[in-house]
Amino acid sequence: MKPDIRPAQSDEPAVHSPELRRLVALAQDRPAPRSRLDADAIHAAYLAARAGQRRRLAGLAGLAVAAALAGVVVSRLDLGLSRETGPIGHVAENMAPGPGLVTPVQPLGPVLAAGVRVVAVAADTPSPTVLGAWDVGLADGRYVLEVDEHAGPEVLRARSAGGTVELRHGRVQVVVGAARVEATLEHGVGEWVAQDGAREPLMSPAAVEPSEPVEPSEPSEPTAGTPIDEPVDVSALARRAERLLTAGKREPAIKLLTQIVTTHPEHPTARGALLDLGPLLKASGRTDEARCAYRLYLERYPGKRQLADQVEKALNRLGDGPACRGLKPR
Amino acid sequence: MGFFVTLPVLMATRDEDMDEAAVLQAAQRGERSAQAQLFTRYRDRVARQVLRMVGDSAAVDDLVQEVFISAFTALPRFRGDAQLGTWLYTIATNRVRNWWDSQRRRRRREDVATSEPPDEPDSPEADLETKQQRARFYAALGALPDKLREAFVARAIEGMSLIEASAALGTPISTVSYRTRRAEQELCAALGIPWRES
Repeated sequence: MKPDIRPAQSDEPAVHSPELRRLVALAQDRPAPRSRLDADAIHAAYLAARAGQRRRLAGLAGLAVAAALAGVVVSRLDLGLSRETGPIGHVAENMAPGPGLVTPVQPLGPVLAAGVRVVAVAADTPSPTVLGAWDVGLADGRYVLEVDEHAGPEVLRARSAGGTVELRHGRVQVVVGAARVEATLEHGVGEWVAQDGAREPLMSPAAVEPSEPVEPSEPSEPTAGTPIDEPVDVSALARRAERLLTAGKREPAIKLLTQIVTTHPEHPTARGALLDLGPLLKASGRTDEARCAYRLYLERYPGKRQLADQVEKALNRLGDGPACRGLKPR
Repeated sequence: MGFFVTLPVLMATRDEDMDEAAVLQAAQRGERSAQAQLFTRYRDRVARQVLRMVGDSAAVDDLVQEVFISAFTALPRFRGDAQLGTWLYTIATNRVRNWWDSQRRRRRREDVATSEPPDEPDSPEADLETKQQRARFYAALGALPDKLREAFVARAIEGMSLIEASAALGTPISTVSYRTRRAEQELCAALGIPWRES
């Protein structure tokens, strides 16, 4: 089916067909499904989940201490193990018997599956904690996760305090900080799973075009500083911004959207870009800039059919603030 | 394109807001009675949303339970940027998306979604023809690709505006618009209804 691409309008009906609208009304009238759940059961399950979470945290801490102690013991025994111990992916190799060893040393804990590697890449980064063949815990630091293409049907889960990186195959760089996690997919397929279960695909910087077109692609005017023979593809910029949004990378998306709004205001994607900027800036705590984005939107697109009424409500919710020059507060 | 993330979806009156704020604070502290109030207030709404999205009544209770456990666990971090109803809608959407993923992994989703229209509790007003029409509609809805279905459910059945649906689904506005139109076209085709813009 050829994609039906056109700008969204605030008053567009959700359902056009009268016959389908009648069936939707029937669906809306349907009573809520019978439920066996009650509040006590939910609360009990919540308490159990919370206790489990605490146990897991304690387990992670215990495993980390055990791993550190085991590391000290093994290094002092000088069992002929590799001096290049570190990357957790080499645990199995490190446990191979040394030249003078009669009894093979058994692994002290779980090891990663073949074809899976998790490496602490910064000097001050603690080794990851292996929780299972496809399961590791990451502390604050910088890591590289790798899963070979044919390593198996499972997904590598790298858990941290901020959420979990799931890697099906490929290579991801992960930086875990006190309050945030940054995961950069170099290649392959992976997802970010937030604490509340929200999933977002990990995007590589050179991500492929989206499978679902969002805006029509049109050539654009070259901008100042851009060589004349290399016209900027504004639609491609918009698609890239959308991919960044989908991947949860708000700040780089804001930069791209700002570029579209300020340097290509006549382009068809500029309205959507400006529409996005307000809430994104607000979510980033940049309230004054968000207010300017809303004001600029109302200045450029005052019609109701262009969502101006809803943008005005969003602007009013922000309250008063400094005057603006374009997107910048004075 | 469009990506509103903080606009409210399910409006409440000022009194309800104040009442809800007090209950919310108590629930954030883990108080059982407050959690019970929130559960009672939102259970049916979440259950309807889940049923509309998964089309499998057997899965509803488990998913609703997961939604509320996730919500109560994450409640201390809820800052009130969105309405609680919107926040719960988003958590439920994420849980359903995970469910879809797990079903796909087990290669069972198609069977579940298309072969079993959700059963209805008996009600005097539900005559046979209405039930049959509704069952046909839900079967067609269940056969839609996941992304089209979630957009259609939010816009057409839940009655959200484009901006509300965009915020609740975490999907740009133009994508919600596009997916809703695609969903309508596919539903019309599946149900033998001529698609035309009114």
